[in-house]
Amino acid sequence: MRRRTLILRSVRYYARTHAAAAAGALVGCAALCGALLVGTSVSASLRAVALERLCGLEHAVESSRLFDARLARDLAARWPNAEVAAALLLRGGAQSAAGPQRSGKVQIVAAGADFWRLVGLPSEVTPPSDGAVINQALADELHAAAGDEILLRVAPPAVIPSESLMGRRDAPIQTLRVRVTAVLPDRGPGAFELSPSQRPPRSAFLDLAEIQRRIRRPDQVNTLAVRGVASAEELRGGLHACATPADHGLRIAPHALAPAEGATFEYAALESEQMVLPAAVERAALEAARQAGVPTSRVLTYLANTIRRAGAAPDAASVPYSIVSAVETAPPFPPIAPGELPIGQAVLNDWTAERLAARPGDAIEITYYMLDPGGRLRTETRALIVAAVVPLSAAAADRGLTPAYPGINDARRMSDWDPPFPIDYRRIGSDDEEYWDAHGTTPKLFISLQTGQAFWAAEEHGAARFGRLTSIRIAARAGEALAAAVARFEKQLLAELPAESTGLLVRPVRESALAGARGATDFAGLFIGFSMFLIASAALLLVLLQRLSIEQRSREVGLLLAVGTPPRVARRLLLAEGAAVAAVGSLLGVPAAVGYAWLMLAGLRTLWRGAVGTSRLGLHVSAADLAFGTVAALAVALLATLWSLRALRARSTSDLLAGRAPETTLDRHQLAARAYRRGLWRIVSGAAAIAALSGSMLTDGATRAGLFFAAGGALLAVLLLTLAGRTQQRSTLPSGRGGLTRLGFRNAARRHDRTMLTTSLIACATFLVVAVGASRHQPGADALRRDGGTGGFALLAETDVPLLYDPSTPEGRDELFPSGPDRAALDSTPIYALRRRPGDDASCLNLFRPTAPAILGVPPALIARGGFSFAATRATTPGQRANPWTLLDSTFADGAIPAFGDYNTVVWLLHLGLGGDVTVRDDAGREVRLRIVGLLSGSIFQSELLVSERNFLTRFPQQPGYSVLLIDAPAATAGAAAGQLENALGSYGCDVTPSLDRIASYLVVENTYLSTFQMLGGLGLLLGTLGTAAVVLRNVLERRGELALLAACGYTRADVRRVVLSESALMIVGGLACGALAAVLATLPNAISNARHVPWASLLGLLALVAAAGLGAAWAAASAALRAPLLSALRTN
Amino acid sequence: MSAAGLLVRDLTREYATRGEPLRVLRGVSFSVEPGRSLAIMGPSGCGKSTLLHIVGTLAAPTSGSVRIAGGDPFVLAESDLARFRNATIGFVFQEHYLLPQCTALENVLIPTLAQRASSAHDAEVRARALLARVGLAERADHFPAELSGGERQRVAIARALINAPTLLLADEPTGNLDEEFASEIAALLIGAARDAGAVLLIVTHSRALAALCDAVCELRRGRLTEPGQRAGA
Ligand SMILES: Nc1ncnc2c1ncn2[C@@H]1O[C@H](COP(=O)(O)OP(=O)(O)OP(=O)(O)O)[C@@H](O)[C@H]1O
Ligand SMILES: [Mg+2]
Repeated sequence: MRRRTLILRSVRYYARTHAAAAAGALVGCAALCGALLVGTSVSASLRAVALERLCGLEHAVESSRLFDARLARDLAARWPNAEVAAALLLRGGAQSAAGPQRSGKVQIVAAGADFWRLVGLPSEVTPPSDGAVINQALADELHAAAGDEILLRVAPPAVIPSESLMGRRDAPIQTLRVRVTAVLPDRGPGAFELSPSQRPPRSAFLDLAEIQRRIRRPDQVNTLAVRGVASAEELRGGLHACATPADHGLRIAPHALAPAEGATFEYAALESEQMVLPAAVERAALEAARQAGVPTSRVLTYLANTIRRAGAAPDAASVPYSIVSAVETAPPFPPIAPGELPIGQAVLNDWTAERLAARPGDAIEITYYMLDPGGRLRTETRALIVAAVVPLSAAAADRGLTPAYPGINDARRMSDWDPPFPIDYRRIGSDDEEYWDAHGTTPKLFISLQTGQAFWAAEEHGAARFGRLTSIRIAARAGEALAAAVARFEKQLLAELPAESTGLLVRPVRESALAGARGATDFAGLFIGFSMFLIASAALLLVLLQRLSIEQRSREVGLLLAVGTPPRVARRLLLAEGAAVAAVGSLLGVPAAVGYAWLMLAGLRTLWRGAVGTSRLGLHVSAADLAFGTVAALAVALLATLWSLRALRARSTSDLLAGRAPETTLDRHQLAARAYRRGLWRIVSGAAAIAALSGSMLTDGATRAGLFFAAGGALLAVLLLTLAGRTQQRSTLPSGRGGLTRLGFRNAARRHDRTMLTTSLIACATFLVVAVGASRHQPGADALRRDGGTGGFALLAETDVPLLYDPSTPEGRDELFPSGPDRAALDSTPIYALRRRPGDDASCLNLFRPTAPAILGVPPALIARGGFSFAATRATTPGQRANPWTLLDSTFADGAIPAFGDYNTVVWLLHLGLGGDVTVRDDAGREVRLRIVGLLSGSIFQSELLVSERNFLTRFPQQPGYSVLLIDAPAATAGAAAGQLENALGSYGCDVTPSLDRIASYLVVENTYLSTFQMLGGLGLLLGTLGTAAVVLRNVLERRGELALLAACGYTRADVRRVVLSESALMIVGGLACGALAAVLATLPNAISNARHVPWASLLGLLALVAAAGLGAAWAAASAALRAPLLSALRTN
Repeated sequence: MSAAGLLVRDLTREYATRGEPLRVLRGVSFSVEPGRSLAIMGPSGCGKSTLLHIVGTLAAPTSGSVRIAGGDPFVLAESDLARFRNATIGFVFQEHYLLPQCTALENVLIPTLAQRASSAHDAEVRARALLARVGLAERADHFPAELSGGERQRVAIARALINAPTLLLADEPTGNLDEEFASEIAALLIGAARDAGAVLLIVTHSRALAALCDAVCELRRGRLTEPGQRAGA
């Protein structure tokens, strides 16, 4: 006979015992491989979704401005395989023409045939010029079908920033009425999106030429879709090379002057279509001029509503609506007046001086409009001293100082002016019309550049938001033709001006989508993490079952040793057998894993849909996962088997032969040593628990959560060790019924290791279930408090089209809210308006990892008001502690911008903590670091990061308006206020949500996660119950003789069962109590600090249920084992 | 006394318990020549099994020495001791300890598993011969559950003999058997030991059985009486 024969014989003979152990290994392998498969499947599904959304695109050029579609053709021509198509991608709202159904956050894609071909839209469904194709997601929202009419509301990007004085604020919204010609499924091109999320976008597809015609911007687009360019770097380079000044929104216009009789001076003016040169352009142009050796002169031209003598009577002569230029004096530009113009002094042309009867040395004042952020028009008056009066000729007769403005330059008469601010046409007299006729936009008054910038572009008042110059004049060097200088300057300027700096952003959409899909919200990672508990439970169960089988065969081992089998060989025989069993179990676990993963994914698609918000999760069986999982599971199973063999360690052959339980052969010293070791471990675990708990007070974020769990684990160890010590002590046996229970308890001490293994199994699972359950919560009533998650704001509104007026000011309300019956109610409701820079949703609602989170600008009023609850802040001063919002106004030496984020967002989605930096790009394409200085707790702001409005405006000047409103309506009238606001701001696509609903929508995700993890704990408990049943069964079988003796002594069957059950009750209740207690202790600080409502009742119910199930299983096992006539055991013994 | 037999000197053994240590053997000395048999008798709990286990190297003495074939087995490392036991000692216990999953033949072969270099075929030939000798040639392929108590014990004896031990230890080998069978088993054991020139140590309560041995002694209060030579031996 060979050893192999013995192993095979044994496997077959102990098939039932082995089957149980194999089942344990199977569960372990299924849990491990299954967890990996679920993780891979979620990632792979997201990846598939992301790729599908991109419709094969790899890169995109996106811009906050419109640019010429020509760029697409120029770019495509640079590479042989490149495909580039232009499109206009806008966000807006939609409404059914027939019914009340509305939808916000609609993606409007206006494109031509080349784009449709690129994204794979079949030509028979491309939108015709008079219709729209919509996708199913939008059709569902609008209850629309092919043939229905819908209204689309969009605000095309303004050429001149709408929040600048010259920007148009009156008609930003265009409503397009279109007929739906087809509804596309939410797959393929129908789900096209450049920044994929797991939910399909709501999209409308329109014909580009038609939309360009309707918004009067022919050939203008804001997006290029690119395929076939190797890298973003290469595309950026190509873009840089292709872009013309016009693509940057710039023009270089030649002008000529006659500085003296018969002489001409030629120069060119660099101007922006935005009217003001953005700071990035200013920097680049000055540097380019320096490099090219081209002389420059900077100009800031403004409109003065009035120029008059200081202190003159109101009815005295004044000059209305005059161009005023602040000019940098620099040779070779002919000076307007001889010498430098000091600060605070002005030069008048003779026409104006005559009108005002002003002479050098006289004081005059100019009045002009300033536009505050928030759309408030303010009139400012400044005093100036007349330094000189110059004739309206030579350098003073220079129209080139004034950039062209459509609506003014092209006006035949002054009274035909159409500026975006109110003017009093009655003040325009015939003299003024004559001047306009003869000299047009020639400035009437000149000041130094410094004076002008102090008036109209002061950094400290936010007036420099869009820039500090209207033009930069360039001239040729002596003896050089202007055209040559311009050519040199233009070339250098384009070299100094990367596409990003004027808002042409190149995005590797495919790369970032794939990166986002990999990161996910870490559902996969968390799932695998929590599955570790289940895997550990399965391993414990395996140890228990293997141990039971080894104990059952201790005599066999004794015999092998007695006949001289070396212990190593005997152990190896058992190990081989155990390993074979574990291997078979693990291999069987592979198909089980696939089934388990399939079930979990089915659950995530349906029952726990809230966690992932998509039904697009499919099972991706990865051979690598299965191989790795199986090998890992096998390793765990082998370790468990090895560990269970420890049961044989240091046991004498005689003891094994006699079948003595190891626990009964311990002498005084061994017992003392055991107790000592236990005590030592208890101290170590206790110290670890205290260290972890105190550590968690000092840290935040994921570390903190991890430390809490660690503390809980250590506490669990302390409790279990204490229980182990107690159960090993012997108690005296009182008589009567209590005695039977005590007898059962003492039996627990007999097979102490087995008892403690089972108890630990149950305790671990209980710990998980309770700890996870205690983290589950509902937004409580206190969320509505000022220091709660809503900050006391009952309502939250978002608009599809940004509001260009601040609804928190009376002026803004006048502009925004129509007068009507609701007006009084609206006016009495405090509203705070926040700016929003679009970006990735950084909340748990987005499964993709946010790369560029959306950003909110918090107005000073909200900072002053304070409120909301914080999980942690960087507050150092008492003032900051009293109102952490003031932290947003602090500064960092390294230029980082202070920011707030919700705890959940920062910790779980951005994987950062307090003090962490999120890097985004500002409007000039530069990196901006947002440093987290405060973590809001359970707030409404989980989708964005918050910075102060001041910082927002400096870094994101091009982002127009307000699109998030916080409404402080009393709870009682909140419903009415929501309706009023939605009506008043209907054309902006205003969507009002109760703040609690918003928090709840985040919590749904969190709670669904927790449900999933709790279910893993539940499975662990199931394993614990199975373990208990196995132990009860084994115990009863081992002790049939004793139990039979009890029966022989006259105990009833129920009495005997009572002895058995009291032992299992000790395991179950002990395990439940230890696990629950440790979990409660570990989550208590968190529960207190986050003021969360912990669902104790349902948790207690759950524990009761588990106890009942466990006892039920034990009862069943005991009954099964006791079914055979007990007394027969006496005879066969 | 030759060096080839069994020599036991001043053997003591204590058991640590939860209370005072239990002194079971308090200085046991005896020797047995090869080919001779010694029966050890004594009241229950006096330490007979303890003594046998120590002699069989299953347990270590608290003090004193055991020499088997001239050597001290307790100086050996654990695995060497196991190999020594495998080669030199055969056990027959009161309980047969047959592996239920193996046939009678396989059970007899169990001790050969410990040897690395043994020929499986030779071992099987030997095992069949031994089974024939104990009268179970026909039952070689039966499982223990299909054998009677006496038959199981005979398989156990064959198993003890498979490696041709020089020391044969039997702890109440006939405890569970009737008188007739008991003497049959005893004769088998004694005959086998004598044929092989092995030392046979039998612990028994049966005077009839003890009478079959070359010598008998009694364990009392931890000490062994002088072996009473059997008349005519
Ligand atoms: N592992 C042990 N721990 C403590 N005491 C033990 C142990 N093994 C045996 N004993 C004690 O040693 C004494 C001798 O036991 P042993 O089994 O050698 O007796 P025995 O003579 O074989 O008895 P029996 O005839 O009943 O088989 C007994 O009192 C027993 O209680
Ligand atoms: Mg005995």
